[in-house]
Amino acid sequence: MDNKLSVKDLNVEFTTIKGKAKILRDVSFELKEHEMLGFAGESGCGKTMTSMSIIRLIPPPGKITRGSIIFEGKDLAQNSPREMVDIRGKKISIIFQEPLTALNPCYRVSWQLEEILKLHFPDMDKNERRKRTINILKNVGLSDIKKVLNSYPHQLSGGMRQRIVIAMAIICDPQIMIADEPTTALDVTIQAEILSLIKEIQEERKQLSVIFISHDINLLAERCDRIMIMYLGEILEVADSDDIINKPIHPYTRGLIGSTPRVSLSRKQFDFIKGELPSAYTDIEGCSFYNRCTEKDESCRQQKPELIDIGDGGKQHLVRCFKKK
Amino acid sequence: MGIYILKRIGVMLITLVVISIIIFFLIHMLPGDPITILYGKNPNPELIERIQKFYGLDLPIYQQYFRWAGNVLQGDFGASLRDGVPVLELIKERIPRTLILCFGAIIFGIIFSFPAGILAAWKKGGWLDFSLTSYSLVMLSVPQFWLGLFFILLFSYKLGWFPSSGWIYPGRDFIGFLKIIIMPIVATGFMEAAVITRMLRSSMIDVLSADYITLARAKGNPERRVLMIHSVRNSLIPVITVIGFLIGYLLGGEIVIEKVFNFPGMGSLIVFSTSFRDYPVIQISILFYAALFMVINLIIDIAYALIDPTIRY
Amino acid sequence: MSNKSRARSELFTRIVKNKKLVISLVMVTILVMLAIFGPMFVPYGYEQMNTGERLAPPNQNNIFGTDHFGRDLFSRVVYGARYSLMISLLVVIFSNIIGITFGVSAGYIGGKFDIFAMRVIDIIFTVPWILIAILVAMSIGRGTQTVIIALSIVYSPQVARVIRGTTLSLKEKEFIEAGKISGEKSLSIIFRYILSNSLGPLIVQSTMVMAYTMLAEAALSYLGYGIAPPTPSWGLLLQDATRYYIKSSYLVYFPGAAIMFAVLSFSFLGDGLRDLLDPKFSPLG
Repeated sequence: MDNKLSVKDLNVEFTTIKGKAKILRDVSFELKEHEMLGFAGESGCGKTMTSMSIIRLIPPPGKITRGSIIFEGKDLAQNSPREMVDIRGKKISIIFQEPLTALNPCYRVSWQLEEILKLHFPDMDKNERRKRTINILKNVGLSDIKKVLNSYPHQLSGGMRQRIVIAMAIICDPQIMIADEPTTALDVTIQAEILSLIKEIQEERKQLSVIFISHDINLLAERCDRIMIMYLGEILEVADSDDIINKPIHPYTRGLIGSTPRVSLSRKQFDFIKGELPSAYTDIEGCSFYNRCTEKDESCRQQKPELIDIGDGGKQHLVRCFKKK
Repeated sequence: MGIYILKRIGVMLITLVVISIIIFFLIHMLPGDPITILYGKNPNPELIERIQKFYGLDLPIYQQYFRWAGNVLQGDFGASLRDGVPVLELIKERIPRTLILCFGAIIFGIIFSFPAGILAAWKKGGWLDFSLTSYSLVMLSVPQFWLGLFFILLFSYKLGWFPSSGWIYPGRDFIGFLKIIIMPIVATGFMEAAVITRMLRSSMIDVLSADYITLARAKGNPERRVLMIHSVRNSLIPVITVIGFLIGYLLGGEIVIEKVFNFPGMGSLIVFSTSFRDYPVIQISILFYAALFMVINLIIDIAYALIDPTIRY
Repeated sequence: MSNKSRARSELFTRIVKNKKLVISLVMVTILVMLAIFGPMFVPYGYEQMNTGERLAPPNQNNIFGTDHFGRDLFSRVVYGARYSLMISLLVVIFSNIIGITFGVSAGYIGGKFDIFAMRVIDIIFTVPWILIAILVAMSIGRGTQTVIIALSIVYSPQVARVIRGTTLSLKEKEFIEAGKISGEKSLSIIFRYILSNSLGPLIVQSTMVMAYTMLAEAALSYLGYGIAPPTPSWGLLLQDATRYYIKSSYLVYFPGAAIMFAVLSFSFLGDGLRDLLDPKFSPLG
């Protein structure tokens, strides 16, 4: 298998008193070796839920109802909790959005870092652990390391805490790292630093593939190899970043690109996507983007389009739309 | 940290002094002359004069206070008005007994409620949660002394397991000692256990939805560690606050329990001496409970600082 | 629908959906009905002796049995509801009056008076409630008024603290200025705003005080500091029982159950009201 991760027909449902909400509908994609794959889309489109499904931390009452997640020859969707405990933090790790609440306020940084090593490498001795934690903090660009190690989270800034979270994610040399909006909650100046750090990490570590989640498609385009657009739990378009930005096919993708503010001399207005997300509790017969699409016709309402590869020259470009050009 | 403790002890002592002044004046201004109570309506005037001189009851109040305070500082706690027995004698044996009850009840409350609260939070919404929560709500509504009476009915008379009153020295018969204190301790600590269970459960539920808990799982922590190591410590802070509020109630309840079980501690002493207006004894007993309350609160504040790094001094 | 009536029907739905609240309201209503009307329907007066055999277990004549004077336990328990509820209600009222007065003055006047008031409150907190009650009992003897006075003192600090906090925060705000401009006296402004802001927490706290008072009154009467016989407070019934309960355990169970029921209903009510007022309340929970 060439792919790091292979997700097929993944379906996730939430069962509440209001009924069944379909959070992920037939999601299929691949994560290739040594690549940075971006997930783009609005809040609630399923990007975070996809990543939580991979590490099997879907909050109740959600459940995987169908599909497979193949990693290292095993289907993660079928794994027992014990098997997942071995994988999380060691082979697949995740970074969350809010650094101020990501670290446990009661324990020192050194303890929180060494904990991961103790969990996954129980035979490692104390000195080796110390060395590794010091090294990893250097790798994420922290200085005054002894002081940081001895500190409690509330004594550190948001940027520092996010670096520590990143350090925790890579300390075991994982195969996959998921970065879920890692810079959204940070100051603009720090954002750029953290983004370059993540890019640097991904480039340096040959065995690491990164899934980068963001609502800002332009941010993704600058750094990711490929980008996947999600909407209402479905994948609408997947292609190389250049193609997504320069040759977007799906009306939603085009809307996303237009509606994110960019400093650009040629664009003088934002093209907002009108309309609202339909409820996740309803089954939609036709295209899920129908009620907000500006290029639709009758056939779009009656039948759901398939995800089809329209790429040429060996480059994959998947689109879920009847109006592909 | 050490400075903080010293400061607190200082405040404690000042408060104790203030309380002693207030109690002293209050008691002496109360209607009901101890002489009349103890010696009848028409006692021998010569006898009265001698007694008054001995206890200093003929002096103005503020002088009486300083006399008393001076004595206390020298270790002389005065003597009972009833029979002249030095107060120190009376309280020497009773204090440790009451302490055993009070601390026993607190420890019992904690041992009982922690597993219950954690389990109820972990299995939230399930039958275990429901039964534990309902059980603790019912336990909150039971008067402590009624529980004591019920225990006596059940364990002393129906089952014959434990004696219903009295005291046995632990040195002399340790098992017997345990048998005697177990019912009073449980009866005193039950309500506290119920409150802590509910508070811990609600606090854990809040903590379990926090980001750092999800991250703890994402690091590869098995659920057991997520609960015990990552969640519990963070959940304890409101729980400790609640324990602090309960101490006053606990001490009050302990006094009542002493009566139910005929337990020869400070509580029975207070109840007994108030009916005789035995000033010296009442004074010291009240101060004892006030001091105990403050010491326990100090311990709680120290526990706070130990658990929550954000409020270290 | 207008906004007001929509808000009202939403509130109604929330109340009805909250099982705790509904059940506790039913329980409290039963209790109140019992307290007000119960004594009219009981077979015997609470002082009436020899209504049956003395110390008789529950039987057709006396459904809860009789005590050592032959008094009908059932009638006494029902009368007890009236006394216990009345006393608790008075304690709630007085402790709130004292607490609000102290709290508002402390917050509003500030300065030395505030410090003094806070010290007094701290001291009341430091001395366990029962000792305060004992001191009051020593001054004015035992009785209903003793219980009411003592417990009102004991529970007023909590109210005072809450009110003082609200007063302090409101003192700074523009309400005062706006009110002053429109000509109101600042004191009445404060009262209005404070009460409307703190009303929710105060009501919840008052239900808890009802529950605590019933427990405390029972304990005090049991010890002999509280209500004097033959007034049938539930606590007194339990004190009466202590000499005979080994043989006649029903003397302990029925009053105990009554106390439990009453305390449970008010605690429940407090819980339910707290859920109602808390914006985090979720109908899924």
